[in-house]
Amino acid sequence: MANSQQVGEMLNVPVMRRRAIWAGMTSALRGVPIFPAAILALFIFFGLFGRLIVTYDPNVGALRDSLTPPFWQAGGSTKHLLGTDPLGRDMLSRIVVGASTSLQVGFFVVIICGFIGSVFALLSGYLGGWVDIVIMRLTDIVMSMPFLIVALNVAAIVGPGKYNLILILGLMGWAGYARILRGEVLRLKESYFVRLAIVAGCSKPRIMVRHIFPNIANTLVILATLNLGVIIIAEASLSFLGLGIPPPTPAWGSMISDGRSYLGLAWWVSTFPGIALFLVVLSSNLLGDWLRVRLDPKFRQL
Amino acid sequence: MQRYILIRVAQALLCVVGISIIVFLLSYLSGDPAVLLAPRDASKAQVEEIRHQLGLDKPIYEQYWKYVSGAVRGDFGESLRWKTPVMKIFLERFPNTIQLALAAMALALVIGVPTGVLSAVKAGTWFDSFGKVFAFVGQAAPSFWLGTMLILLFSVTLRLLPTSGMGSWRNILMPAFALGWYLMAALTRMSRSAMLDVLDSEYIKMARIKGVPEVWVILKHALRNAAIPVVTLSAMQFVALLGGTAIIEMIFNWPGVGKLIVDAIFARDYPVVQTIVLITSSMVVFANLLVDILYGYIDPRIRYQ
Repeated sequence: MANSQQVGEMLNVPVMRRRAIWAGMTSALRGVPIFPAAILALFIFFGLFGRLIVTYDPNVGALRDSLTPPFWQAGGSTKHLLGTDPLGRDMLSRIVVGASTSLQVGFFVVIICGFIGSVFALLSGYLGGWVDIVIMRLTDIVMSMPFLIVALNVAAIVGPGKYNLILILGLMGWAGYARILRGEVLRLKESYFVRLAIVAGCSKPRIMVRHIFPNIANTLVILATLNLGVIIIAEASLSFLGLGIPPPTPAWGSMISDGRSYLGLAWWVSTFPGIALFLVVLSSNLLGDWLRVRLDPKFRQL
Repeated sequence: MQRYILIRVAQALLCVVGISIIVFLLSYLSGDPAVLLAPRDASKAQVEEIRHQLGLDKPIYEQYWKYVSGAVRGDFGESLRWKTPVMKIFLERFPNTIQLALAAMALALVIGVPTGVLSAVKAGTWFDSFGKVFAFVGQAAPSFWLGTMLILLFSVTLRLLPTSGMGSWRNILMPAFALGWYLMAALTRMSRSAMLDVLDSEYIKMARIKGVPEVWVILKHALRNAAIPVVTLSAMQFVALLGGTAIIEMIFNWPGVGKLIVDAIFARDYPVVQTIVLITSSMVVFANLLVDILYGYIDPRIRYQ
């Protein structure tokens, strides 16, 4: 039998509500794969606070320190744990600060693509008719054009730069979202709650935003996490070819490209940024996969 | 069925027209070729003259029409750098890219599909874990970094394979591997998942009950049905491969269309860029069209969408 304090506590609504919210949040996160989440969190931390914690200036190097090997190899020292690049800049600092570029571009592009994709999917799926036809043809066109080459082309026109890059990748990447989300919208259009909303007199925009969108949000999040890796690699590819983030800002793609002329002498210049890229993309893919299995059993076949 | 094919063909043509408009606009906005072509100390009047000669002072829809009517006949203009018809340059390089893409595709199929199938058949064992890891790693490693690492390992350190150029199987091995890597991983995942699905179905259980040897069950009954999604994925990804050749060709100096277009972009050689984007996009559109029609034959439900 509970004592009077417990009973009093049981009836304490604010506390119970807080507990319920906490229980909901922790149960949602139950089973989250630890390693990918930790790695991604680490790189996000680097992205946000990288500039504050590095010991060397990532943009400035001492030429006499050029091409120092990592500390475990002969000629290396613990002064530069992962060695230095051809201009004498510390590799570790550059990799840490480079995280900010890759992740910023990744997140912003994914948000833009998600937004455009959802809007198009809602309009196209719910309104149907001409709107649907026009939007679907537009999606076909964007999906048919080779992503990298058109991005290169536009980057050559508007010039390099982080925000230009975000815009370019954002304007090209929404097509996949639009297509898949449109399928969801079409499916939801026939459901009872939408029909009830129509009967109740809800306007079309209200139905799309208030009723349909929350139900496609799950798929949207899944698509976004799976797409993040692709976008990060796309940004790195553009930087690798020289049309991404301009120097001296560290970007993993351009760092890999810098190291290509020195492969025989200094293998670490190309290798470590690539490992960082690989880890971030792998973690984001694994998390996306876990999320997919967790949120939407239908998706397991992908 | 006829109606379905007609609708899809009309959509594909509309798509190509849309692409040509976008490609044309991109070129138009890229800057003024007349300024690039004229010698540096040319006066304004001379630049105007060049512009007039190239037909660049005409209204935009006239330029577009000129471009399209030429394109339909196969005349895509001349490269600004080499003064030869773009089509000729393209046709010289295209077989090289196809060769690379086919090699990548072959490698991906030969390595990816058996890995996926075995992974499914031996689900839960160490091989399955290996297969899953392989698939994930493959989809996460960027192809250009992988290409660079391969060069580091096989050319610089072990001195087994050449770093660039075309010629023997040694030259094509690394680029094909780097290019096909992502597809290998995707095929492993897809084959595994398709195979797992099929192995669960009634007719497989029936075959086992009948006493058919397990190898025969897998190869003859299961594989055929698991092949459908794998084949579709391969067909669609083949065209994506064509886009991915750009970076690989740059790294390995492979004289193909990808390298051509990246060089052209940097050299501001707009006719070449325009043409290649148009041609590759059209190939994607028609490949999708073929796949859709094929699907219409295989799965009748799709025709009534």
